[in-house]
Amino acid sequence: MTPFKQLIFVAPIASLTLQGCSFSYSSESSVKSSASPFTSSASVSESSSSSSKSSQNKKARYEKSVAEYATEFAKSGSSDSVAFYARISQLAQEYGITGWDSDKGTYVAIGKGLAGAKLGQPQYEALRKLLANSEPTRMQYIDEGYR
Amino acid sequence: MLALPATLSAEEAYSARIDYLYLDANEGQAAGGHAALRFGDEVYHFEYVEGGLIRAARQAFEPFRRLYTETENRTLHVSRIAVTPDTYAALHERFESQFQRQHAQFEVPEALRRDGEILAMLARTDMSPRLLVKGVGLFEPARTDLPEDPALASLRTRALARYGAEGLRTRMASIRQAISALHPAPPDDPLPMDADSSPPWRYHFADRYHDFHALLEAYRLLERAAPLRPDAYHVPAGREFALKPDEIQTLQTFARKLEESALAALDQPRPDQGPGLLAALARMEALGKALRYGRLVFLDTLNERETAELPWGSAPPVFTAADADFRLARRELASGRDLDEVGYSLLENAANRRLEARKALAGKTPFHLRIPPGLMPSRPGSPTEILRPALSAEDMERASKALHAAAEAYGERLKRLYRYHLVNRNCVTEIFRTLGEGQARLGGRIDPEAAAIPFVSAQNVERKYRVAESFDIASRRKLFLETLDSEAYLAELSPLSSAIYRTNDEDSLFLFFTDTPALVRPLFGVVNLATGGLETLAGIAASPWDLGRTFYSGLRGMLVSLPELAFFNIRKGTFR
Repeated sequence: MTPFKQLIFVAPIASLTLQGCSFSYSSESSVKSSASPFTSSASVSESSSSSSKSSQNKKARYEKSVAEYATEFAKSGSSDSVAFYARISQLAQEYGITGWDSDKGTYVAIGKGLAGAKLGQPQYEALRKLLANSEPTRMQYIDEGYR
Repeated sequence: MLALPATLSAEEAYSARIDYLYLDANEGQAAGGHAALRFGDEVYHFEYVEGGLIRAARQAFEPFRRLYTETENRTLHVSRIAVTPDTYAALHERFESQFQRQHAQFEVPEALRRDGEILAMLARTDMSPRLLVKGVGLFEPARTDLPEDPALASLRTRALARYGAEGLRTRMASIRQAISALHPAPPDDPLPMDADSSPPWRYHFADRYHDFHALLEAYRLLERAAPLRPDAYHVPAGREFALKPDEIQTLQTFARKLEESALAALDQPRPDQGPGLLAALARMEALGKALRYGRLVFLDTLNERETAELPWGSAPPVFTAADADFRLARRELASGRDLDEVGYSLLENAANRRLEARKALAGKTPFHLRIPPGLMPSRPGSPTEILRPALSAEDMERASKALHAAAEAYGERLKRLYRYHLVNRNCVTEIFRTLGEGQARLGGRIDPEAAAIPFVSAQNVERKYRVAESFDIASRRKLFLETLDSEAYLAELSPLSSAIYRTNDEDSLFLFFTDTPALVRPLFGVVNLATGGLETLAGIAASPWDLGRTFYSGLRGMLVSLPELAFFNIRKGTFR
């Protein structure tokens, strides 16, 4: 059947039956919000078959998300470290990480993100201190990512 | 055309593959078909959502295939496009960014609504506040006759040695004070002016309120070294769950790291640590049991939500996929490398899915497959203590109304940005719009609006892109028909005599399938059209009782029967 004939048949039927694209069944119910009361569902669909990738790939993706958020945070000029930590916690939870504070990779990723924001040296120093809560080892990890 | 490095053959250079997926039409939710792009295990597509919007979605391939080819009974046509690894990475990144950006945009009104709802609930002084906290449901509620969990008792000893009983009490008091001092920020989230902007992330009132309670509950659970609920973890039988000495060593090291991390979280409590700390405590208990028993013990991470019933025939591939993931996670456990939390989460996730699939496999009946909602164990439960912020009921009501109004306004903005349109903005146009200039790297260019019909878009992809291979993944009914002798095949021509099809709410009434015998399609179409007509007439009579549902179904049945008169088929029957 030619595309033109397809159009003749499909268009009126699709328009009369509401739409021509698939409906999102996940949006049909409120289960999503009741099952996970206060967190986004970005990872829900992914997680169903998530372990088909190696943990290194997953970890790399987590660190990339952290770096991207750190860049965004640095560019915003915000100094709300509580919100910063909360966002990193949310990202960490999507990857099953319960305690990102103890994870070197997270701080290195934050350093990479700060490098992406192209800050001046004084701004970088101030932000590094804020986000590492002045903890020397964490600041060192951030430096490692920043270089 | 991109220039290739001189040392590479075309085959080597275009070694990566992106699949263009076209799903043929069916009655109801996708009369025009559907389209998607697949990058490895991830499928990106644009779905019609409530409110008449079209929205980016990301899904793992297997659940996607299962939904469309089995439940919706639609054949999946795959056009495998050859690309360079750089192109693959760049386009994958483009679709992922688009998905994340839209997700952030749609999350803003949702978050404002959640804030509004929780404030409205807290403003009610005639009832005690209710709250479900993620992770709390993994633990036994407080009772005096429960034995303490040894892993948590050990952590408590270390915490007492480091911070003292007074130190822990002070921390709990400071959390209570922080909850009391909570107040909602004015709804100042900047509304995006276009689809390319990402709203800044906010730590919303409802999330802070939830997380502080999670943190407080973590301290209380530690105080009594609360054991896990018996149904919150699995100790499965079978040799495949026995741990080898090197795996035990890896888990021992990991358990120590987890304990250190939990102890460090107690040092300077922050609200965002609450949910993670609860999950860490639960995992420490499961790990403690695993090390004591010498076999894999893991938390139940499955979603209790009722899922669609799947035929037993779906169980073997579901099991195979879960088993492959489980084996991969076990290989990583035995690799000698340090296990991190991502690796452990993947093991926990795969073990849950494998166990669930094994049950389905053994049942030999249709089954409901529960799927882990994420990589973090998060079974919700009521915390022991639920506190109200020190705000007046009037203030909370006022704030709730303002937040709901802001959510409405934001929702309207999203409607303007993402309203579905049959030709200008649908599941196909958005794929080609997202590809944008990146289309050149696929071998050609397709105008989004000229290819708005999924079927046409698939033909264009075949003609214009660098398609290396094309194949079909047959629908459930097609696969079944291939196995039948002529007598059984004839029985499958009608839903009345079909062995596998059952009438359901998604499908209008019809007397003949028209997806395979093309020659008799017009004849069957006449009968189906008449059946639809009768259902419509019956629907008129039933309207006072069913609010026009039967009438609408009959009308839809007539509409999808019309093309059958001209040898064209849309309706295939679904398996919901």
